[in-house]
Amino acid sequence: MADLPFFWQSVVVILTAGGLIYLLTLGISIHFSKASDVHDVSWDETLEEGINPAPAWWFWLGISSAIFAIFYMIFYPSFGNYNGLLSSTIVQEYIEHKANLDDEYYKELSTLEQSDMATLQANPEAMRLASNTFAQYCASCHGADASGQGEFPNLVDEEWFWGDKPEQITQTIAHGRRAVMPAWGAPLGDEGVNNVANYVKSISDNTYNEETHAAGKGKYKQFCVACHGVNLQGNPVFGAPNLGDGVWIYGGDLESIKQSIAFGRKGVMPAHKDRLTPLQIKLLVAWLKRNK
Amino acid sequence: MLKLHRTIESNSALLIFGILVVSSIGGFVQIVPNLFDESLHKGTENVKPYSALQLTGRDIYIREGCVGCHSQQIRPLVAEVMRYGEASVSGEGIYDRPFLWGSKRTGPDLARLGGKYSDKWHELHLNDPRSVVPQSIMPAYPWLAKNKVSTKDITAKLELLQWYGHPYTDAEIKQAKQAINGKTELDAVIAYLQVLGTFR
Repeated sequence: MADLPFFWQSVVVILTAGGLIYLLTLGISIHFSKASDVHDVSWDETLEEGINPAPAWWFWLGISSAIFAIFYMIFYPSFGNYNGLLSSTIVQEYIEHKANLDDEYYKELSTLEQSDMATLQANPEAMRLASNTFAQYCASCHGADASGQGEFPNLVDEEWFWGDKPEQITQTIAHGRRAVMPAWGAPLGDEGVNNVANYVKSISDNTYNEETHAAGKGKYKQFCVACHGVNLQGNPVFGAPNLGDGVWIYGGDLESIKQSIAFGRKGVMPAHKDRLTPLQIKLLVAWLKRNK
Repeated sequence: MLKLHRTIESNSALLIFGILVVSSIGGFVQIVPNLFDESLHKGTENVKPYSALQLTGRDIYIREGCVGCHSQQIRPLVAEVMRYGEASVSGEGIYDRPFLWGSKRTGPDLARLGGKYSDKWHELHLNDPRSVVPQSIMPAYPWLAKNKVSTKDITAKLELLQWYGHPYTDAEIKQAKQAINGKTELDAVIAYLQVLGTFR
């Protein structure tokens, strides 16, 4: 445990052992010395001060604590770098407890690793675990009921920006996602942004604006179509949302859409592969798919 | 030996001195050798000194008293590791001056916070914790987004840390002011929070 250089190890050993031996010798020599007949001070004529042995119980208490200390140093780390026969650090205890947990609990769970999605979804214990994992790792952003909040996507609706296949969701959870909607404010100009926003909005709510429709459609075909598609259906490969289904993560009013186009959007889903085990991710995917 | 004790006991100044010496031996044996324990000084493989922005954020974290409610040490206990992540090790903290382990957990431990949430989440959460975690009791820190960080002390701070042995290059120190110039306190705090626990 300790990793002291030789000099400091010697200091510890000498002070510990030396102190113990010195105190033991002192205690024993006083206890077995004759009561001193030299009385330096007298009080009240007959009350005299000198050196006398301590009461027996006190002496033996001292001796037994010294013996206890010796055994303690033999069994536990307390003597320089010596680890003790029963060396047990908090880290070792952790490893033991973890092993017990793995044996008793996770072994049971390991059968789940081979199960398919439908079996997991039908297993209430597995779904309970998944829902706990969601509460701990996902709810801060996606909301306690997974219905999303603010700019964090709703996970119980039909739209999955990065794909709804189990392997796509697994990828999203394990490796995270970084959306890159570029800022089109400069190339489009204020008017262009306005036109495109009006066009995009008109598709989902049928509010045609005669003036801007044609121009907006033209610019859309030029700038947006590569990711969001000809029919505004989006593309899960880029995390480009469907723009025609009326689901708006950054707001569906004209101002919000203009904001998205002009300044871009950079949604980030953090990677969870170092926080969640593959089994936890698998359970989460099953739970999310079932929740729909 | 008895004679020595007689001398000490009959001279109160000597007795006081003797008591001080004897009682300090315990502290000496427990504390001083650890200062020379190599295993406590060796950094982990990934440990890096804080960048100018992260360091600024760290000082704001201290200023706002975050440590009063958030610890930054995960003990090697099964329940704790399951909740917060891998247990903390001393090598992660060699560039923490002073360390911010804390001992109070009104809020959750933050030792492995880095990378758990997106920057955007932290922005919303620091501005108004209830907007993302409805049951949160954390106070809001809306002024962080409004205040620009002070560039006044950053060079001196880095120079001092360099003097302590933190491996900052002279170029880094020279560019420090520029690196944080114009950033908000919110940017700095988020930069700091996102690096927590990544030195493992």
